[in-house]
Amino acid sequence: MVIDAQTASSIAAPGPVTTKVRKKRTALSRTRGEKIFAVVNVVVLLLAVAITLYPFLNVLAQSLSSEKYIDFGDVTIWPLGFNFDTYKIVASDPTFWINYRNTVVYTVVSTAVSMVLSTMFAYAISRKDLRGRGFFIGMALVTMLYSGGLIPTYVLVNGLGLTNTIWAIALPNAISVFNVLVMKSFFENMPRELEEAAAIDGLSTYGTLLRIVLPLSKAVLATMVLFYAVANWNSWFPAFLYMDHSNLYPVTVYLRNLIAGATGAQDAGASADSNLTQISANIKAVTMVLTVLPILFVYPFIQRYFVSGIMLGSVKG
Amino acid sequence: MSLKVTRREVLAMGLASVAVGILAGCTSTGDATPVVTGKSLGMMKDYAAGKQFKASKPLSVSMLFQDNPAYPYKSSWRIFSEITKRTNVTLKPTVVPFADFTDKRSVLINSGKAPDIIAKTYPGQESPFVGGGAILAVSDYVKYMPNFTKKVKDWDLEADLATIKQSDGKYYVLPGLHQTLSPDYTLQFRDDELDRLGLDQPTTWNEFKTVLKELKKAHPDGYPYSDRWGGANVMNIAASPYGTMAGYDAATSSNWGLNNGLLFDWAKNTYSFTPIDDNYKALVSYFAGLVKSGLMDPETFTQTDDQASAKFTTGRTYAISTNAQYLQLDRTAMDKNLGVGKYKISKAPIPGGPKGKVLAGSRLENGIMLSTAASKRDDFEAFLQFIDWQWYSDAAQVLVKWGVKNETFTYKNGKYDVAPGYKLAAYGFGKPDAKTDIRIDMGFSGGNFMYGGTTQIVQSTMVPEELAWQKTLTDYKLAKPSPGVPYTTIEAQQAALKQTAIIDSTNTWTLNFILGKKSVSSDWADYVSELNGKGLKAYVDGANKAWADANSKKKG
Repeated sequence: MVIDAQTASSIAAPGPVTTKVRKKRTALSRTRGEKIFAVVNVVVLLLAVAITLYPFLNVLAQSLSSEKYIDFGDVTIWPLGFNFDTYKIVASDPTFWINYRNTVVYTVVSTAVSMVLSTMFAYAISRKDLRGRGFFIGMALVTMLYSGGLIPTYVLVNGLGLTNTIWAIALPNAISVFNVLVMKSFFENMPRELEEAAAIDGLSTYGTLLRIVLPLSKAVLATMVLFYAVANWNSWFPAFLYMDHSNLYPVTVYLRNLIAGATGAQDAGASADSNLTQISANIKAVTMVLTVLPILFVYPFIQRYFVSGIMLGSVKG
Repeated sequence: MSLKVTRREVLAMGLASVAVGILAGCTSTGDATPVVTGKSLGMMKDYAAGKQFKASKPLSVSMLFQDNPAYPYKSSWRIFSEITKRTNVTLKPTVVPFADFTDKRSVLINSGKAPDIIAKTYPGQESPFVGGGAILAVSDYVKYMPNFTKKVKDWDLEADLATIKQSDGKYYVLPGLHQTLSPDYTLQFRDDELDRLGLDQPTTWNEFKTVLKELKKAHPDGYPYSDRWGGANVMNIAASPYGTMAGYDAATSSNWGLNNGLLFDWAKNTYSFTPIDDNYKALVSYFAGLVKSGLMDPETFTQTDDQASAKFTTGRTYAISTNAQYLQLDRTAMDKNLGVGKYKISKAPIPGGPKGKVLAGSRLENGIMLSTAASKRDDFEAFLQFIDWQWYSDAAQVLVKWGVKNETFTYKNGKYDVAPGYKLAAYGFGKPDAKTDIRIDMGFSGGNFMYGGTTQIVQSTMVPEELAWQKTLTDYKLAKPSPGVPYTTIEAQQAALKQTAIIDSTNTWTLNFILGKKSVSSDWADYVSELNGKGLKAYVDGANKAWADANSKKKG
């Protein structure tokens, strides 16, 4: 989200232009209204950047601060009482690392499954000569509007023996219809002649997909990998629902338990035996930072595909 | 095969509500005793109260286990192996995070996949599952549970159990049983500041206001009092001495004492909706007065608990709600924030009000539900004996709280303590540098097994300070709890629809009155008429009809 805003602002405010001629032309073609618009645009988008960036920096600063300053409410975007002790405490919890490893495994496997299934589905329904194409598209669209509901889905997943396995997370939500539709319109825009040429040279349908279409679709593939990976990394509900042991949870469930569990109040009737918990603010902050960082680092590497991928898919469709 | 089961279950789920609707009309009047005979595998023939249970054949029992982030579940915990050693029963926990425990419990029960034992259920939380049939009507089987029945009889808990009976006269949750009421929630003050100003801890709500006024005089810039739990705790503890029911935490949508708003008049034998009566009005006026005079932080009702705690522990406010554990947590925070010895805090007496010193509360605590599927086990009777021993025998209650005698704990002259080399940091027992925490490293003193018990065992983890505070409660009157409305299933559904709207509206208006957005003196009539518009009369009449019906049925 942060990156979105930054990207957008860099589009809105063009960088320095090198040649003289172009500079002149730019200046000439820009009316006063356009200049005002550009300024307002930059200001608004910078504000958006600030709003999205501040909570992140605040949590980052809290993770490096001592608890005392957080309690006093003094920590903003700069750490006070700078220390790495909290990181050491969190890192010393074996459950955290087990859950972290789970997140990585779940994300990689789920994303791989999703990519294979979505690509094949999208390619198939992008071919106008597919018999029953309308039916298959319709079938996908229906799931955007209706779902089976929580309990029937649980009963199904349980009945298939998927609970407490990675497949309970990877399979039920493997295909995102939105992503498939973006890919479908991308594939539809690919020159038909390429595939015909491939067919004449003796490639099968799968060969065409693997050796011609996919190498030319890196932009959309990278975008989809990002979409799926981020969604899988952040997802906690399926794991919470289908996993019955804490050593199977992803780190998001660990984090949620730490934050929501610690602040949930007990019902009335709680007696002297009640088990209230309070996890200090800096531990929460460190866990949040450690959870968010890896997926955040994926963005810069994929960003150049990201912009072109999503534009190609959506606009030309 | 799995598909077939799934389909059948999906269908069953879909039809459940219809079936409930149809069946609800016919209440079973027969006294047919549920059959346990023939399911006696592994049972103990001579099992009795006070006797150690040990299954004659190994049993495996599944259990829904709430994972608390303060002492995360470990399968290697000694408590599990010790239970197996003593009872020949192996517990197989389904571990659910603390944060969303109720959601997962609901999914598991509704999908028919609930484990045999469902831990951590507060009385009242079982109601939504009663109609579905997935939860066992445990009252049918308590005769196989000698420890439970003995405690109910000896401690005179029949009236308390009556509050959790459903319309069929049965109860579906096995609650924790307390020998004596042990309230925990009250107010705490910066005692050092009270000393400095020459003030005593208040003992009535009027004195509380006076103390706040003095604190405000000394510190005119801020609010002397800002509370956690959305202000619900003070509303709850003030409600009893004002003769009403109150307390709802809007921030976490948790009910503290308002419940269904129906207060039972034991003299007239009827329910009335207490949030529209004069007692409630007086209570609301009192808190509105505190906010109006700048004594109570209006953010109390919207802030998170962390924010409220931070205000108190950094010395910005001087009074806050507390309980024994929060007192310790606040001390830890204040040692860091203000410095050791630079402050003094303690639990204050629960203030009295217009009706004197009154405490409300039930001696039933949260407990366990049993899955209906468990009743089909071949070893069902042994299973019931295990439940009885594990959750209701004194020996087991010592085990789950303190562990193994002379290994993890010692018992001398009526006092429990951890053994050398062990600690129970959450309650302040043992040396802080002791290697093993019997809660974190061994699973003892955890919430899934500990519910109530004898006064001695309940008080065994209390530090002397807390014991002294508990003694101050002996001269309080006990308000008799309002019995649950014995609705039939259909009546319960109709009442729930009205209740949601009525209680929401009550909470909104209460908040507006307290925050001064509405005036208690001039807008009260509008409030009452809005509630009437939402079907208040039908709601109260429905409750009274259900009560009358249930009682005439009993007599008939």
